[in-house]
Amino acid sequence: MSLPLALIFEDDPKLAELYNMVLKQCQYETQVIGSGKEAQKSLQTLSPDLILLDIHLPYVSGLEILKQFQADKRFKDTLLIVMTADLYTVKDLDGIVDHILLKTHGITKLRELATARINPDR
Amino acid sequence: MLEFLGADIPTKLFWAKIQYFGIIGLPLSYLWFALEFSDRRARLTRARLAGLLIVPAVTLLLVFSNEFHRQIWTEWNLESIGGTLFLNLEHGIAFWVNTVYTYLLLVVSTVLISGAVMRRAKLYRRQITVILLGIFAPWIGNAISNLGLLPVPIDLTPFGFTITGIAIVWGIFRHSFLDIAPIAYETVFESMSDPVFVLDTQNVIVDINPAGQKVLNQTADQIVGKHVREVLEGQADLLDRFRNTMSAREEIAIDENSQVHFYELSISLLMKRQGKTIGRAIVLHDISDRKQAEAAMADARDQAIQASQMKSQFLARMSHELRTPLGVIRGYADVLNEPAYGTLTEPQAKAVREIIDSNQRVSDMVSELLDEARLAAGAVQLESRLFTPASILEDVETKLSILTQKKGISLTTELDPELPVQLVGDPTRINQMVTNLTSNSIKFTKQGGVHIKFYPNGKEQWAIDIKDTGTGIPKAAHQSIFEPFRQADNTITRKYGGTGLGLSIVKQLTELMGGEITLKSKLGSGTTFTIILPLNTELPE
Repeated sequence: MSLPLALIFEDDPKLAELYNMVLKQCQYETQVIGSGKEAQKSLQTLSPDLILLDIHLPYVSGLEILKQFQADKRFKDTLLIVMTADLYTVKDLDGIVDHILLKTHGITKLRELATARINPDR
Repeated sequence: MLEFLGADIPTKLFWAKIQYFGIIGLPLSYLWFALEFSDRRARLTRARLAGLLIVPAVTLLLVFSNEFHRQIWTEWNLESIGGTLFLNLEHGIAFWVNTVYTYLLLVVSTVLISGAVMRRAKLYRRQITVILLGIFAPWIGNAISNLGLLPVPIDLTPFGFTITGIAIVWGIFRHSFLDIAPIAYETVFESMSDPVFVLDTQNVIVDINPAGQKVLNQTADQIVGKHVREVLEGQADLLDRFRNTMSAREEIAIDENSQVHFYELSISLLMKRQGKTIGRAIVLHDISDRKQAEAAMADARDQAIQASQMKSQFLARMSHELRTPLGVIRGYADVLNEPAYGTLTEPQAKAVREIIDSNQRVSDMVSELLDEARLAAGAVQLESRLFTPASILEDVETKLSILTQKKGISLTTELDPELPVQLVGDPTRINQMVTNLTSNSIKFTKQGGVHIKFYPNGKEQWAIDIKDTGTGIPKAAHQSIFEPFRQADNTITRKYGGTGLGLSIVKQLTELMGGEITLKSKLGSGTTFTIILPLNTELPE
């Protein structure tokens, strides 16, 4: 059985690498996408199980991608985790997305969520 | 007095008759003056004037035909007093009728003038004294003569009127008695620095003051008599706008030699006493300087706002830039902490905890800096939604009890049952405020503990108390402690850490919510911060 797919939309290479590592450890097949345009394209062709979205992406904002994601029924079972460095964004998106994580709050929560997605019973 | 001109009875009698033109005419002109002075001339209709003239006319007729009926004088003879011959007259019924009538006119005139005087008393006190002197002179003269108080039979009434005349002339020249109306208006009109145009009902310019001539760069001769459209060719828009405006006061911009001048334009109707419109007066008051100052102020304000917004944007950008590497540090520290890379020795685990702790502190400071910048730029928008105060209390307690446990102090909470279960406001911000004040209190408390209490404060407000048993705040610092980057003592930052922005942010948020924050403190015996907020339970529509 193939591994579940996680898309990492993050423009900062170091953070992308960190998330990539964590998600791989959680048994995901991962793909790192650093720009908003690339992210939009990938959403047209790929069917990810998990999307890690940095809301401050260059060229096309994370909010645009969020709209595209929410409008597409194909993603109804996809777990969306929004990553942000900004407390205000957390407030703005409260109730709109499944999970919002502050970048400064580390990866413990991310690991929990990613693991729970694959093994809901555990 | 004219009777002294003759030596025999017929001559003296002739002059005594001529004298009656004055005796009858003076009270009448006096009344005329009184009506004019009291702005009541319009009431003197032709019919009323005719009525007023009946008694004087009949009296004059009787005077000149006295020899036939003796209604004015019944007897006349010459009397020598001190070598001078006086005409001694016995008065008849018509004389007394005219005298009563004269008194009547004098009374009416006096009442009219006195009334007008009272109205203008404040402005023309000196002039008024003069005229009152004049008013009573004929009375005194007439009374003395008619009551026969003089040793010689002469009429002092004309003397009285002479005094009236002198008083009025003196008033005019010495005390500017008549500067009340036309002279004053003319002077004001001519010397006004604001251009004034007087238009008739056909919009033909009938008068213009020197200031107006200067603005148009033409003399009065060139302007007066022309239609306003000819004179103000370039201002067709303006003319159309105000063509039929009877009364206005507004600001207009006029392009003069490619330079925009701002004027306050006021239009007033000119009416005759009878209320008929005779034209319009247009006054332009140059407000270019004021406008320039206003524009400069607006510019300065815009620049300040822009600078503030730029600062806010810069800080937002900076804080994002700072948080990303902080996120990386925190992330890898978490990775180390988890068993993914193998189990850590105790000293290694301690090192990782220190990294996480310090990282958290820097990241909190970045948040505070961003908050302060946003508040200073007025960029913070409050939410208005339903929330449960109890859950804020619970959340803060859970979050911060780790800190108090570490320090070995207590953290207790209290929720007044009288406080509504649900309130409307910005729970995130209220949580932030309570968290901020509580962690501040924890920081400065070594023994005892911190107590948080939510309770209603009257019907319109609710309050939050954060009470500690800490070091206390010196009185001198009670105000400055709420200023940004201030702590009661600058060794505090070194010892306890923090940006010194926490309390400033709490105060600004409290005020943004329409509330206030106060503190009670004594050195050594703890501090209580109280936030009072408006109590809302209904969502805005």
